[in-house]
Amino acid sequence: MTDVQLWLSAAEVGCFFGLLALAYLLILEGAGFFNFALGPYAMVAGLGTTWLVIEKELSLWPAVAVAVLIVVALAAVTELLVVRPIEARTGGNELSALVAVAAILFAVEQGAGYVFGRRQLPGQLLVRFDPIEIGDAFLQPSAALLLAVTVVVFVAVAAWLRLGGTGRLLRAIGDNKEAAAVLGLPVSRARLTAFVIGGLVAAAAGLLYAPKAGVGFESGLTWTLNGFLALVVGGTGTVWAPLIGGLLVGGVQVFVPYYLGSAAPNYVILGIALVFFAFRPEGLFSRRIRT
Amino acid sequence: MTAVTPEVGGTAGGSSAGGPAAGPPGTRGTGVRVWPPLGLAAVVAALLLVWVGSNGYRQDLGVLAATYALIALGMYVPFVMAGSLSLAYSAYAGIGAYAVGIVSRDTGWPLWVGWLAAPLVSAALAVVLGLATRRLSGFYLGAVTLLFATAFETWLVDADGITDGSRGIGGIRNLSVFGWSPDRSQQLIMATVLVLAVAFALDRLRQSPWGVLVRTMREVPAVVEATGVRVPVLNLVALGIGAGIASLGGCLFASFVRGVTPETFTVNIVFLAIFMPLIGGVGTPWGAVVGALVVVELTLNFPAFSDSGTLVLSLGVLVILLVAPRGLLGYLDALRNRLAAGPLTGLLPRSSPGSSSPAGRSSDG
Amino acid sequence: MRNPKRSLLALLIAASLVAAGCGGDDDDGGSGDSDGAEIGSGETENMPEGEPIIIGMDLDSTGPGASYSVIAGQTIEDAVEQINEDGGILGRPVRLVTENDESDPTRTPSIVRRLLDEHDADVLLLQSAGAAVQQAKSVLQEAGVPAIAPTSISQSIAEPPDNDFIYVLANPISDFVEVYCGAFEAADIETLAIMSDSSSTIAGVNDLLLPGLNDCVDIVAQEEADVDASDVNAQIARIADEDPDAVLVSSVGGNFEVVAQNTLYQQMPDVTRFSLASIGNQPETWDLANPGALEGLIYMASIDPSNPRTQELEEFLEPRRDDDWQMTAYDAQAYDSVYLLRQAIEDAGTADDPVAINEALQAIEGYEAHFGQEGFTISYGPDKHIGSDGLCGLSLVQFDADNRPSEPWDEYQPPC
Repeated sequence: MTDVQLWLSAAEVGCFFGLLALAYLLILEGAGFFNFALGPYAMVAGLGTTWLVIEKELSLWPAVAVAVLIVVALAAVTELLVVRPIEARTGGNELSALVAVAAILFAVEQGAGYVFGRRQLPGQLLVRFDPIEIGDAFLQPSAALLLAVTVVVFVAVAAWLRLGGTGRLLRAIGDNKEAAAVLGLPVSRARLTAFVIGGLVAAAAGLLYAPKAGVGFESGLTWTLNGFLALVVGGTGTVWAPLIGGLLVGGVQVFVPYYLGSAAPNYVILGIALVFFAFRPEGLFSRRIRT
Repeated sequence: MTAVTPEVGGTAGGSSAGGPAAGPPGTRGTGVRVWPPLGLAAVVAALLLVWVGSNGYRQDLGVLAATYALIALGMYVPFVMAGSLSLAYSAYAGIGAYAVGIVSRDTGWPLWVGWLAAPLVSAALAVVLGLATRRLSGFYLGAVTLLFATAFETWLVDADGITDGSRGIGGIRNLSVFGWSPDRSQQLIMATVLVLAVAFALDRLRQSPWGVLVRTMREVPAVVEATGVRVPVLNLVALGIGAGIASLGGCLFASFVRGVTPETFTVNIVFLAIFMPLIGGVGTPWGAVVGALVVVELTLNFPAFSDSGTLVLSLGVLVILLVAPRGLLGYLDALRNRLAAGPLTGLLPRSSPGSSSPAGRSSDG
Repeated sequence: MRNPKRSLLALLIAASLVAAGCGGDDDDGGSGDSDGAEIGSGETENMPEGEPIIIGMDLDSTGPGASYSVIAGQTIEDAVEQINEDGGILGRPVRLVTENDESDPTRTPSIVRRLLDEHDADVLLLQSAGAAVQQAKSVLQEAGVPAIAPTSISQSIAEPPDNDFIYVLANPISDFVEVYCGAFEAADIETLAIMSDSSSTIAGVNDLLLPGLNDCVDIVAQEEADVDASDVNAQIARIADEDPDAVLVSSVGGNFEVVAQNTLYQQMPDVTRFSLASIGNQPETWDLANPGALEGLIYMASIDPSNPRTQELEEFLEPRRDDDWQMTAYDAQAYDSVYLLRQAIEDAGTADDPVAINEALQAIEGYEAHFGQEGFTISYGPDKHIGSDGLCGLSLVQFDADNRPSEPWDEYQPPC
């Protein structure tokens, strides 16, 4: 475990999963819903940007803006047109919600394959500078940006949840949905905000991770699962828990193949999932004052 | 959480073929309505077989539809009946296909040995996975079973000695039953009969006392526990039966196509298999069969949707979830009742998709 | 539908369904991407009249092999168009019908049957992954219709069983082994590490490649990762631990090759790197590599810019492509496949007798290919279904500091 390059890789992968897990957490707090479509959102941000640049010959930053807007729209549509009506009809039945979110996941994936094409495309580099040398290892510009943005996003979200009006509302709803509704808090507005902010975080994650190895329309499902796992491992106790979970899952993804061979991470991840889901579904960091 | 009528369950009672919406579902299984669905399905199947004829490509489509139907029927058991959404069905279908492939490659035994072994192996695996995940439900169960499906795919590539790695097993022998090897047309007819038989059996099972018990369990487990039945055991049995049926789909596909690779049954098939009963109608196992036909037609045989078949399909499923939760058969049925019973009946609550139908509350009996 | 919000939603989704159903499918790679797409009928003035001859093509334009199949498919379309402009074959127009098996071997037989039964194809082109084409063999044998796999390099495709109706053009992997071994000897390479993707195509290639390489070099490490792997640092670190003289990346190319080469360049900057043919034939991937990351990489090229026929083809294709287009061996092999089929049909004197076309294909001798070195030819026979006549369909080419293939490698070149 002395190879610096592997640690850098683990950090990069881990930050990506951490951002996805943070997006899960936001939507879970605000709407009590695991949005499995987050992975495909991230995919749309990465793949869409490249497609706009390569196929539509848009310049980089407008392409980024359009792709992120598409993700925000998808997130809002998920909440307003699908999740909310179905929850209203079924009284919040979890099975129906899961089927609905599976349909959304699949629809976003197939829609991206249809619109952007089914080829794997490279991610767009948002910044260009020489790789940073650390010992005998290199930190690529895209990785450096991902690490930096991860820190900024986590600090910003933590501050928002503590200080911002809507942020505090979100936490209140996350603590007790029924009470929040009885108190007359604007629950629907907070839900929509949660979906949109979660979508934005996922979009940033996808956009920044895409340069690492490109992105294809089917990348979303693996991202969804790894992000979810990072959330479950980290827990929902603090805003920082998803980052810890993400880094742990990222470490597994990088170090397990080094020691145990290429196929091992999938088994180890399944094992971790089974252990955590069965024995500690609340994750490493749980909030104790929950009703 | 209190016993809310789940969406799928709310329609499960109300939309099955025929009968006014009253009483718990178990009481409606009278002889009169046993045969019409099977008879109707047999007629439709026969017409489809005539359409296929000896066209090799249509035979492939037919077998694919039968494969999808078996996987969807397998998933139907725990999903619609017991309310647990396991997403590992690509693995069970894969086990079926590889069982046939391995029997063909490594032994001199007839292929149907694989057909017998696969459901047992799949059921056993489903029970083990069910035990490992017995405390999970909803999203957690969905995620962990999906992770299992991905890990299984990796294993298929990785276990070179057993599965021949990413090359897969090709050149599978022809199916032969006691010296008789059916040609492709005959195999398709046998596949069709198998699907009809499984759907019919599940329909009967659904209405049997056991089926009522399982469906009650998903809505109010406490009631079932009170009768002395262990809910976890019931759940495991449902998972095992479902996995066994799905693996038959894999056996069928590998025997007919005479090859299997790790990419034959990916997690995509799991999504399609969730959608099939929704499209056809969750009220009856026949819905899964109808859904399989729709999926094959949309994704493979509909020229206008050549590239967008799966997209149209997934959007269509969203629409169905939102505005037509009873699926195609549910609506055909409602239409038929309306026509049969006159305009007044059509105004009864069960025709409105949003409200929970009285029959759905089967648990109050 | 009492709920207004719900009806609005239904309307919206219905509208998007219509849009999806009718929307253009021309955004990602031309008409080759849509099932059953047809080109080459009624486009030019001097189109020949009469019943068209139908070439059925299985093109995996969306699977793992898409990165090279799209290139080949486009050139096949151009070749068909050119033939039609020249008066067709036997005075009849040629129509190309395309289906897509997505490189999925279990779908290939259905796709081939569809081309034969639904589209009545007279001859076939199988531009798909090796494992997929393998599955088509028994269908071809049953139907008795000849097919060419234009860019395939798996010799097992053209070998028994069921090989009476299938043909490949290029040098098979057994020739690759000979060339690599010659190169290793020339450069004093004694230990080799292999980095593979886990696709079925590469599994098939490695089955043929590695036993041969094992005879001339010591394979000290063999690592593998998913085709869509985003990080192979762990695998490369394991390779670096073994300190091999050279590393061979065996992949279908695309992103995987780029990620592998980037990582190798970073972790093992001084090791000699070899690759299969893919990277050199995929110009769109060169810019995805980090600056300079491909420098020194030696790959198996099948194109020689000094071959006059190669130049001729380049002149034909250039006006039909983007400004930054680069001709690849896939273009030439795709082009030659169509012309080999034309020659066979003309020699047979009919397009309606597949067995006669098959016999005519087997009689082709010394066809001068548009790839390989100048003296390179293609011949078939009843027992020779691999077209290449000799090693000089291949050459070893090295990438320069701009991530572009430049000079033939000066330490070793395959003899003609």
